[in-house]
Amino acid sequence: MTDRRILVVRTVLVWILLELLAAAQVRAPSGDPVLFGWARAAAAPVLWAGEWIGSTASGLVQALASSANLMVVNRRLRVELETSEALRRLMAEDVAAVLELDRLAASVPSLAAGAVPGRAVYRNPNQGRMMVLVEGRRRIDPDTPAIARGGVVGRVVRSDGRRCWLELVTHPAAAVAVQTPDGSLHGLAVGSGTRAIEVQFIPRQAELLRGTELVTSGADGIYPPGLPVCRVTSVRESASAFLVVQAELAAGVDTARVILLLDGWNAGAGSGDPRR
Amino acid sequence: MKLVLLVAAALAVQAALGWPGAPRWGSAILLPMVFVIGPPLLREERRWPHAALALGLAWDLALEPVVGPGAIAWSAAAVTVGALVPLVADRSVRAWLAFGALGATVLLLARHLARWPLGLPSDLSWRWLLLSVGLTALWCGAVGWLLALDLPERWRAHRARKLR
Repeated sequence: MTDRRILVVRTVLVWILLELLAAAQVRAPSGDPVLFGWARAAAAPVLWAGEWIGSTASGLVQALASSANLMVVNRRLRVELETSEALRRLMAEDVAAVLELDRLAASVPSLAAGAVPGRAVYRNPNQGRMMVLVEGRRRIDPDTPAIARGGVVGRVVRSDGRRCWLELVTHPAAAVAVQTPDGSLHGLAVGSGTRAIEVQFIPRQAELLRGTELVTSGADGIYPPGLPVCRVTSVRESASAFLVVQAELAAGVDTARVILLLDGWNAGAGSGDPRR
Repeated sequence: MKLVLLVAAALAVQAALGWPGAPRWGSAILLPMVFVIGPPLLREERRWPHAALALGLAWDLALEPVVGPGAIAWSAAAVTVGALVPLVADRSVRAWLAFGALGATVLLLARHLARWPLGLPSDLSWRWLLLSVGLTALWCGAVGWLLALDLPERWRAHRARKLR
């Protein structure tokens, strides 16, 4: 920087000092020196900026706190919503179960009085097992027939408190005495370990059509007569004296919610068609 | 010391020009302007703004209600003149006239600008500016003409001729 520039810079600085000196001598209409007004005007942006920063920081903190509260409330509401949704599904399931029970009881009016309703909580049609929960701790006798919407599902093999284990008709060891609805043909529906049921002892000359519904005949002494068991799906001849008849289970084992255990039907209902 | 006395005398006369009864145009002449434009025109090596600053402070103390604007104005005039004089080769009476007018213009404008933020009333008008600039230029031109006459040398020559 040349001497002339240094001289000019110094001179300008001296001018500023002289102006400030003059401002300190002159008084504004308010009585304060003009210099005070200048100082206030110079400090005003700084004060405004400080106030703005403080206000912004305060707002930011409040926003963060509100956001945190909002997140907590949101999380709580989400949990409540999920809980309500679960309760709604449970209630819908219960309502559906009640409706299903009503329809089921209406299908066997003569047996419904002594029947014990239960909820199917476990099922394995391939293995022929099902577990049913009944209301209250009560003993269900073995060999008590169990029916679901559509027809017979099996019989009780064990009862422990509220839990009852059923042997489904599809179990390899299960057998149900069946007949055609008009009673012209009698046979034995036997489980095969799969979802199919084999109907044995149908005479070779019998006229049995595919789609024919087979009902219990009561000849086995376990199931009351007249309950739907299965529906014929195939009929073919064999070398023996009987037809090879395949059938599918009439009851919806896979979708049944409610199981009706016909406890003591022999003592109360007697013989006859339970659907009447 | 001689310069200080001359400045003091100039300020005293300047104050006298503003007394009641004096012609109004008298106070338009800026008598100390010759001490601002003189040194650079006479090629004296001085730090003109500093000297002008002292001159301005003295001006403020003597003639202004507030100390500061006068010092700024006089130093501004000195800076301007000091920057422009080396660019001009002319050192005649005409240069004294021109730089006197320039210095007066800068001084009056700088004084007006320095007083404006303070809220002080300003008596500057175009008429007063032209009057002051013209009279100050004439004053500076007269001083330059006197200096150009070199009266001491003429006096010594006159005495030498009479003694012969």
